[in-house]
Amino acid sequence: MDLGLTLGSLVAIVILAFLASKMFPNRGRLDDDRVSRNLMRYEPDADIGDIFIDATGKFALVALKSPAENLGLVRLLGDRAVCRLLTDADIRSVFKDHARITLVLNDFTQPEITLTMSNDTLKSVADLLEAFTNKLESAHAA
Amino acid sequence: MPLDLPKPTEFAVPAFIFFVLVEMIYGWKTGRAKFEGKDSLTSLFMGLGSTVSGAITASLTFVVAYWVWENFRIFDMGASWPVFALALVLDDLAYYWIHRFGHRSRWMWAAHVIHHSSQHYNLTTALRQTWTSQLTPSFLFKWPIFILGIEPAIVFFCAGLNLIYQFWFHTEAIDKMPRWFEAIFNTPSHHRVHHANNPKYLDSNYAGIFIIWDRLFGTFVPEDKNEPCRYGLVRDLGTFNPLRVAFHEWWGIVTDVWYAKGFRNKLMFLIAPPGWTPDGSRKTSDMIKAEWRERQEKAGHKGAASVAPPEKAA
Repeated sequence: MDLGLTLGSLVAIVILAFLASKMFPNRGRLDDDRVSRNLMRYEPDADIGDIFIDATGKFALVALKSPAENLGLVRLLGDRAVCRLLTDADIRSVFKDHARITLVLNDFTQPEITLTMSNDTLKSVADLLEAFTNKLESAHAA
Repeated sequence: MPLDLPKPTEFAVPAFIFFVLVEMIYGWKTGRAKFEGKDSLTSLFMGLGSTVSGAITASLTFVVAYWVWENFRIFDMGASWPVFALALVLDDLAYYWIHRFGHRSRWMWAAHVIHHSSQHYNLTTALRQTWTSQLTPSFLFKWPIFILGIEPAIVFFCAGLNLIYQFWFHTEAIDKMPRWFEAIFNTPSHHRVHHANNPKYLDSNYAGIFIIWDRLFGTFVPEDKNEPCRYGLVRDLGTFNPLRVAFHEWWGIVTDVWYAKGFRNKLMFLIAPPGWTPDGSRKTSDMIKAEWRERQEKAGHKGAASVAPPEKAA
């Protein structure tokens, strides 16, 4: 393996990625329609209840009427949505402080996610998670 | 003394970079190709990592291949141009089966999944390659070519040409090639189907250069304009971190095997199709396709039955 070629490739990679980020900027956010569309694609039999989108527009938790005992999670990664159906076993712990909720997940590619929310939404989401997992803790006590 | 042949992929690197740039500008101008900065960075970095990991294990691969060729070959085919042509075809056939098992056995999928882990389909996706193919039994698929009597250096050279051929069709910028070309060769249209996670398209079009292998072995599915391709995995990754991308499926196998009860279940987590579980709590591609077919039939759609039938577990 040629060291010059490797280093040259590394420089080219950084330049190409920089150009891609400038030429194709991400301005998208999650909204109810995008969340339900993606979740239905991921699980066509899902019956969607309330949708809670965080303040950054990058995460959404979804109450599901079906499948039972599942919670929807939609995340905007770059410009594409990543969906999960979470069961109680998928959530290791939940931490809440005054403006954020952090989920620690059994998911190698996204072990932890943090949702930033207004007070009203935060309370609704905390209630949803409390009922779903019984793992809600205060972040300060953690 | 082994034949000293150039490594085609190393010569092609500047061309790869140039054409990624061309596609990016074309997509920016026309909207017919889409990129995302972090996704492109991850794809390109995975490509570089793949080159490094390949170089680290190249000597071992080379020594084992020559050991097979020197001790078990039936003929000595020499190094004439017809032998190079034959090697290109046979290597492509071996690639088809490596690729098919790469989708149908979780052990090999753990390495190959990286190539499918982008939700974009552009020339950087072509370079999103595994770091861990050396941990799979894929090398065995080329042994019959060595045993037939073709020198490993020729086969490796042709494998390099095969990889270069596969670069150009990772694009949405090209719609269809001429009909005769679409009939014989792998094309952007055929390979878009292969990268799509729509249930209709799962486990199809495994070809490298010649799409005839898919037509021959019953895995060909044409692109349907009424079913636009959506790229990525049935369970997309939640990260751009190259280390997590490279090893996520291996980690999944290790944890599943660790917690599985009984030797049979442990073994099946390694060799059964991705998504297999003893209790059916996750879905294999066959299960996803069957559910999709059922929904289509309920909705009265025609054409659902024309999709390739589910494969037996590899």
